[in-house]
Amino acid sequence: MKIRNFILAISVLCIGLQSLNAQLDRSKAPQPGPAPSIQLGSYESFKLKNGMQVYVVENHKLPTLAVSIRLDVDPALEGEKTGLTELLGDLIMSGTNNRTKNQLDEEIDFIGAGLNVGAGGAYGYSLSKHRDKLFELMSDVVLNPAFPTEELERIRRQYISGLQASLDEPSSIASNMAAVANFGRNHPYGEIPTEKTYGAVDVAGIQAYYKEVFTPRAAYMAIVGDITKSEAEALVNKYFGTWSGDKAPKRKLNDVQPPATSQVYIHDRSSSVQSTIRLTYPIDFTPGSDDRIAVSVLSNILGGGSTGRLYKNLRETHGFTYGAYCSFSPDRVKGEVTISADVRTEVTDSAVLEMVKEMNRIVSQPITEEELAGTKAEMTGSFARSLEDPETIARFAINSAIYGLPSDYYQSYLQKLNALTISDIKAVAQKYVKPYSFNLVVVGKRSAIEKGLLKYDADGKITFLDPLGAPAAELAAAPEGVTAETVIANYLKAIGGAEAAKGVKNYHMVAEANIQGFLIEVSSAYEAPNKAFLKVKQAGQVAQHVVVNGDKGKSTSPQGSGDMEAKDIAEFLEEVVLVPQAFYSDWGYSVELMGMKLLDEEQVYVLKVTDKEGNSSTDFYSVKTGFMVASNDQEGKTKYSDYGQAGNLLIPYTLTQSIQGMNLNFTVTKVQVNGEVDQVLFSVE
Amino acid sequence: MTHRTFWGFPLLLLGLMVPGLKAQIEFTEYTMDNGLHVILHENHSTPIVAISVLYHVGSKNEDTSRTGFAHFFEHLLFEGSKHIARGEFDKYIQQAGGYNNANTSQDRTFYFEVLSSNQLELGLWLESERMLHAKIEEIGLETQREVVKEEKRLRVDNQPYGSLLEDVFSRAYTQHPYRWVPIGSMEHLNAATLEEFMEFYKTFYVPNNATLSIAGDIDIETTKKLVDKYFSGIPKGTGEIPRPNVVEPKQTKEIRDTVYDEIQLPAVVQAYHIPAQGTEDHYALQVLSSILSGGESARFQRVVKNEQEKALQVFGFPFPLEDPGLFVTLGICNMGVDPADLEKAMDEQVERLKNEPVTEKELQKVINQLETQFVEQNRQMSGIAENLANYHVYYGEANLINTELERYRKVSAADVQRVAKQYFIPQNRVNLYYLPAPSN
Repeated sequence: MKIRNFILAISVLCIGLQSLNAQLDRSKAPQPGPAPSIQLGSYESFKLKNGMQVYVVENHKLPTLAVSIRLDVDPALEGEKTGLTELLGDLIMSGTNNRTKNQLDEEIDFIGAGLNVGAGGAYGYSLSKHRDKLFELMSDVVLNPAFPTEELERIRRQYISGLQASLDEPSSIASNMAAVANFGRNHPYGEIPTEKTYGAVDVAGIQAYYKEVFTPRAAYMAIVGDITKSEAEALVNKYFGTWSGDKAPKRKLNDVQPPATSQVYIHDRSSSVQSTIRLTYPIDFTPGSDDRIAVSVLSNILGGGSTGRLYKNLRETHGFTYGAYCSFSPDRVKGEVTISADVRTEVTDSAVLEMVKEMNRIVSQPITEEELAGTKAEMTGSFARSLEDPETIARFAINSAIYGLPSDYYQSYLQKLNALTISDIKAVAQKYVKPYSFNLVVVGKRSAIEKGLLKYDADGKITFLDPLGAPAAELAAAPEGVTAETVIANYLKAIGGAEAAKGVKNYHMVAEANIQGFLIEVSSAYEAPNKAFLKVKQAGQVAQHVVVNGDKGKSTSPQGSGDMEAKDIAEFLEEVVLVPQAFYSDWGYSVELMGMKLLDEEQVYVLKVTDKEGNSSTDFYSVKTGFMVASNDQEGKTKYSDYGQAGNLLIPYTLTQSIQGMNLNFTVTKVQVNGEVDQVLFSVE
Repeated sequence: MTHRTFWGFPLLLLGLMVPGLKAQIEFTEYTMDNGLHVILHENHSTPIVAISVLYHVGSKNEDTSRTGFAHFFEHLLFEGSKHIARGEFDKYIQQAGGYNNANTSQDRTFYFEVLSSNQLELGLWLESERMLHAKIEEIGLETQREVVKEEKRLRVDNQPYGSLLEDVFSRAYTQHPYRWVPIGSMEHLNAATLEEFMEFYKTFYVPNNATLSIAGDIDIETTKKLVDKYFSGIPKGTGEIPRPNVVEPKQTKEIRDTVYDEIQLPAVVQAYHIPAQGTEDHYALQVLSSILSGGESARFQRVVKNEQEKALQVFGFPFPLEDPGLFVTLGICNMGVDPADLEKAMDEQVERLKNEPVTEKELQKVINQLETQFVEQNRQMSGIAENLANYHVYYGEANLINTELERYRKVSAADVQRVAKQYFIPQNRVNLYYLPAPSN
């Protein structure tokens, strides 16, 4: 047992006394008063017989108490059970041998406390008057978890839902991609859980992991706040004295290095209005590194906040972004450097260019005296402010123990900081900043950014990833001889021939769908060359009614009715044509064969069809039957099936539209081709 | 890091007092001749000081054709002053080892810095320059326009459910300026001119519309002299400060709508009209919100999330505002759950509140939770400075920082039931479904 008392007075750098009587001169910043001494505060520590190390910081400023446990364990490769440690975190909070989940939740909330236990440790807080209860609950969760199977099923479902939700979040997509790019899938830091891996996690696996790492010999407890050391000691012995366990296992991990040359990774999120950029790479940089403080200075100057170079350049000079920052994160296994900004799509490659420029500048040119002094002042202030929270001192103590920092690391922090020189910073810049070997990870609109980013990939080959960092499904090449034209020709042949398709003089068709008990009826008709009709009824009410006759057109909806412009009339006529494929070349559409893929277990050709206005759709044609089986455009996805006779043509009798999150199944109930169409349908009043 | 955000959520819970705790916050307050209200809290536990200036202007004071103005203006006030060159504002703070930021809500614009206590005078100089000598140039205007647009893209356009606040408020309000949100309209910002900004500055950034609140390692008498030195020479505003007096007409029919967003999981959002913050019913609604979703044992979490597994996340919270505001309940569907089912499950919990009184044990639990939150919120000097300013500006009583919990203690089970019955009715709400937008 020992008592340590850190008291530290930093030297007074600036001396100047404020004079209240002097005439106010607004043109100059006032001089600071004498610098106050910074007191690091004191802690006491002791070790339980079972091996748990305990740190107590007594502070009666507020009537509260915080208790934490940090487990000092090596990260584990989770493989096919990736996500196990996450699920453990929720499962361990879902019931003990003494309390059901509901009882536990109720007791935590009733004392107005917070308690969280996860794979890395535990954290709890409450008013100090509830400390006994807080200890009791934390101990029960940490020592006696029940790991109920049915709770695991619930948690698993929640995580799979959460995974689903994250698939549209640019920042979580980018962090998945960065993890994979920097560490690879064979490293704990590069493992990304999927629905499948969450599915593989079982209670037995969780219990085995719990047993290995939840051991007092790996545990560091901090007790901070309104409590004396002897009170703390009594509580710890009462609630954690019986805890037992071996040393946590040591694990050997793959080593990873920055890429030899820069690589670009894109996730295509076509709806993005911004590109989420993460320029990143792994580094050897541990919390105990001798370079630690110099790298912090470097990081602050390059991109630590609103005075950092990245922010000043990308935000204040160029207006590219709301913020641009960098981080150099130390880690016992492997550190990581990340430069990040979210910028509007159009300036994506310009923003990367500025990032690389700033990296080059800080490597090749010395920083200024002013930058160095400003950053030292900022870090000194930040260090001092962090001491407002008494938990800081416990964190310092535990960091020192876990990372094997020099015993005077925190006491001498400010002296070491102030001793750093411009050349010290240049030395760490040259060691840790890598303007030519990074992974550039971008989530954004591929069609608008791919070309501009290509130059940053040393091999000239961008890697496309899905939201979970797995390779994006690429299309297979179509066999020799197959072209967009042959796919269209085959389709026309399959449905009755190009002649017949072009020869449709008129048609009238009705299709119906049911949604939540409501009937939707779509009635459409056409007569060559320029009459068209469409009426959509929902539960008997007309939702849309469009008629075109010659150069007149009228569109009516519950919101009102109006005459159509010539452009809309022309567009509508093209939409209503029964077999538009027969007219693609007449209308000046461009058709491109993108490749082949599997769609609902059927081999399809993928065609990109673009009209004169530049609107495009992606259409899928069955290799086997030649039929068009699906089409995606801005308005939604449609699947076509049940091709059957309609006059001398084959048309799909079932259309499944997924629009706006709902599936609508339309069945054609009536169709007539080249017969008599009631001309009333085409009357534009 | 200077983010400068429009997010500025009004605090969900402003702060409460626990009788018998040693945490009594003592303070001195006074109003200067030019109308500047000053609040000082002396506390020597750490050698730092938090300095804040609250201007009583937010998006609700904006012209209907200039929405987003107040927040944009907040960005511009970091550009510099007569004596502070463009970009130097943050540099002074950095070189003093400080931290600063600002935010804008519907009701207020709030600037603050936390400095080592020997730098108090620097903070006062900077804030007084901001109040007296703001200097805005075309270059700053153009740059910040782009920055604010990026802020909107980042937080709203490119973010799943990012348009939620705007979607809710634009439907819930038809007349009151709460119908737009602080980020406002980019078209309006494009149209705004330098003259308009200077007019806005002259109207709202005057000492008689501001509260200077300082907490930390200070000496009260010395600080008073320093405040006088930097702020007494700032002239009082000459005009009346315009405040909207629009009364939102009572909603008579439920508003239901669907929003399509780049999301994977549908969501249900309901917003009920409620009275302004500080009213008796407001406290009852705060208690009600804790019963619904304050912790894992609360009804939404326990039933809707964990037992029925309808929601991935589900919350209910009042969005307190100076004028009558909204109580928002919000759920994100678990995979495969129809939003109509989630809505039904949320409604069932709301109905329960109307049909049966909450138990005494639940009430006690909420008070215990509020007690802890109170203490936690005054943990830092910056929190104390901000709470003091809020209580003064919104309630005219800074001492609520010590006594507000009493108002919560008065809430009875019958009160909770009464406000549930009164406000949680369909014709008083907006009901939105968020559905995945179609994509290629």
